[in-house]
Amino acid sequence: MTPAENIGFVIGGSLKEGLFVRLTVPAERIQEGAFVVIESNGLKFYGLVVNLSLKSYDPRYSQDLITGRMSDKITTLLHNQTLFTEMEVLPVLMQNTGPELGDPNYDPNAIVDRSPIPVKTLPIHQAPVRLATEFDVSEVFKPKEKNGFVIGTTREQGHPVHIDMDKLIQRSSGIFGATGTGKSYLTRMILAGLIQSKQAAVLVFDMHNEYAYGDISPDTDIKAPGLCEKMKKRVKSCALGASAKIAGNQPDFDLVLEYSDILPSDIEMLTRELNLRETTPATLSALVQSFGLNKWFESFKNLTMGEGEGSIIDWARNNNVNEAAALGLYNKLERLFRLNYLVPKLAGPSSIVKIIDYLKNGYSVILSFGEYETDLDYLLVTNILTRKIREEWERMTNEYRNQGGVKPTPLVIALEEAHKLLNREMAGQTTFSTIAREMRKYFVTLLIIDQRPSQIYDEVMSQLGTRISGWLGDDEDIAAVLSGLSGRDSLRGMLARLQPKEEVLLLGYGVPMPIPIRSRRYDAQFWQEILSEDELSETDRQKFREMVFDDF
Amino acid sequence: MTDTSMFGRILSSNIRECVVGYRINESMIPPFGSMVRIPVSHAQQPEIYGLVTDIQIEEDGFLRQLATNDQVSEEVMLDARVNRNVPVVLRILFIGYLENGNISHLLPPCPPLTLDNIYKCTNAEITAFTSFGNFGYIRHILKVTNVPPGELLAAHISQAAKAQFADNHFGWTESAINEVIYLMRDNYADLLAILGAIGDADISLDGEVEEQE
Ligand SMILES: Nc1ncnc2c1ncn2[C@@H]1O[C@H](COP(=O)(O)OP(=O)(O)OP(=O)(O)O)[C@@H](O)[C@H]1O
Ligand SMILES: [Mg+2]
Repeated sequence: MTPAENIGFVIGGSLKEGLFVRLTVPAERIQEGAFVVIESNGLKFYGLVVNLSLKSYDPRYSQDLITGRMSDKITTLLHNQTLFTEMEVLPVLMQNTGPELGDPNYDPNAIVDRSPIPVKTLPIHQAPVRLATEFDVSEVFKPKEKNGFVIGTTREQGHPVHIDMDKLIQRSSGIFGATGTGKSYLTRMILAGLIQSKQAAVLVFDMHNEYAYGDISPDTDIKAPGLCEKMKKRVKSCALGASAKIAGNQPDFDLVLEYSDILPSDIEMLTRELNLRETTPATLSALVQSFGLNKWFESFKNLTMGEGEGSIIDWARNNNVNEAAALGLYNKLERLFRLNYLVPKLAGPSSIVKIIDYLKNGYSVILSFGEYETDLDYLLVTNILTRKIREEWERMTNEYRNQGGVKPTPLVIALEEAHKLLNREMAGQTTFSTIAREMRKYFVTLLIIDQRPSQIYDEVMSQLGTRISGWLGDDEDIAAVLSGLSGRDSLRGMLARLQPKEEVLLLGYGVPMPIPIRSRRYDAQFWQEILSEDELSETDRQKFREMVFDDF
Repeated sequence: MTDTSMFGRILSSNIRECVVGYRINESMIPPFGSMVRIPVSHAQQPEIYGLVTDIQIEEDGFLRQLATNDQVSEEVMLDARVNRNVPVVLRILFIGYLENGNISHLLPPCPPLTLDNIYKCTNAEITAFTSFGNFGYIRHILKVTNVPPGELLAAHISQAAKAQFADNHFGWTESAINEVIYLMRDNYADLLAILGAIGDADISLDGEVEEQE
């Protein structure tokens, strides 16, 4: 099929229902989700194929099997004219192309605004319909300035599809899909693109140790490299716990927390995980009261069992705290007291400060959890770290706003298994929902990666600009990914019928229109292409910062 | 356009059709569905094209007597068939005309006059007429009432296809059938009957191979 070949013509439709197109090519040449273009009187409409149905001129032509009664040739001629496929197209964007050269209305001096805008009208009857060409695809998806990243290709003809990196990081974004659909591979590529373009620093909470030094695909047994291996200069690896290793590799530094880093709110957030009682907040505030915010954790740990001076019971009695509640909390916190990455006081500089410093200076950091893979570790560490980051970025932004100076480096926090931190119950207590909701004003956004979008608090979901979703089987998950978007009914089927691997649907504010794509392959060629891209100069980078965040 | 292809004279006519008396001595009887030409003798009159839609052989008075005889000799039989008082009558459906060298698929502006001569069409005439325009003349065939349209169409397409093949126009038959389907697809039963007739006529759609065999 040559790219500009017509595949049919418009036979009806409405803004509400979408367009109906009669196909002039066999149905099997067109797929659901195909990106089509309709040109009509100086307007170009861009749309998605959302349904195909078999139709006949008269039902009897399809119901009677006449094969054998007539020669095959005549049967074919008859069927060609009486049986056809009707295609439903969801028109999404339209673009003013102005009168053609040679048209009497053509004015060489006229300035035509060619940027695609949401559909507000319809093409004429019988307007020809064709599959989008490479030019059409880049016209819609390729950002006009730099900062485009090829995330994959159209499914039918393999035209490259760009995502706008500026938009991706202006608001929080999400990558969803059932297990094995390629979320982590795709995220790795997007982060590589982001890091390479120097548009933002990235902090990855790498729960499964995939991002820094890569992993071996269980499906293909091929080793896929990590970001630290390929972008050593710009990406720092950090492992949780003193002298921990990441899959046998020596990290750039390790993360050990001090007791003073833990606030009562960090404990309250673990209520479910530690099965804490309702009395906990009262006990915690009494602890802070008697030992101070910086010392309470260590002092509590140092209290002893039994009775007498320095015992828990003694402290409880003296501070009007229920003894059983104090003992209960102590028992529950034993799990924390035993953690190797929590120490009373670090000899050297705090590693949290180190992470923040790297991020502030535009480096990216991958925090691998190594062998600490329980939910407790993940919740506690991510929350403490993010809380501190939030404080720092708020401080820097306020300083920048009030006193001028340097804009903070935009920061993207990538979060695997995001539902653990952003579920309905946790969302109110962790820093993440605040970031998703309002931190874009402070140059911090989230990139959340999850298998179960329905488990993520809807208020967070609704804030996600760019959504990228692989195949999802569960209706609730599908509904969650599509929440708040128009054309949901059409997109629902498309999502459920994606290939189980390496196909995703791009959705949401960050993309000009929804489109299913085949993901870019994560392989040696990818790295070659990424690393050969011209490095942006420092001035470009400054310009970029002003550009991206100037709408606040 | 040789004189030998002349075969009869007009007996009666109107705008849609005419009846022709067949002069048996002059040539073979033109078959059902074949294309004929009536060069109207008067100036400024067009040359009319038509299809043979019926061939009627009527009783001439002697036949009743002969038919009652047990034995009819060869001689008498031949005499009764050839030397007839009443001619064989052909009915011709008009499908277009030629005026000042231009073909039209409309009905003729005026009918031919009685006793005008009528000729069989040559392959070249058939090809020129049937290739002209976009099969407009087929509408006249589909409206024929005195015979089933499918039969007439099958006979016509089969004759025209041969002429077209001879002229190396291989796509013609397919286009003709497509046009028929397009015009008739609203009428399922009639269309299937017509296509059935065309199928029975065993017309080759890609004549090249068959013509060379
Ligand atoms: N873009 C890609 N290029 C090459 N291989 C890919 C790509 N996407 C997915 N794969 C293959 O699919 C496998 C699963 O991908 P990935 O680990 O990214 O899935 P996932 O969605 O993160 O699953 P989970 O939710 O279980 O973490 C990979 O091991 C790899 O073999
Ligand atoms: Mg994964």
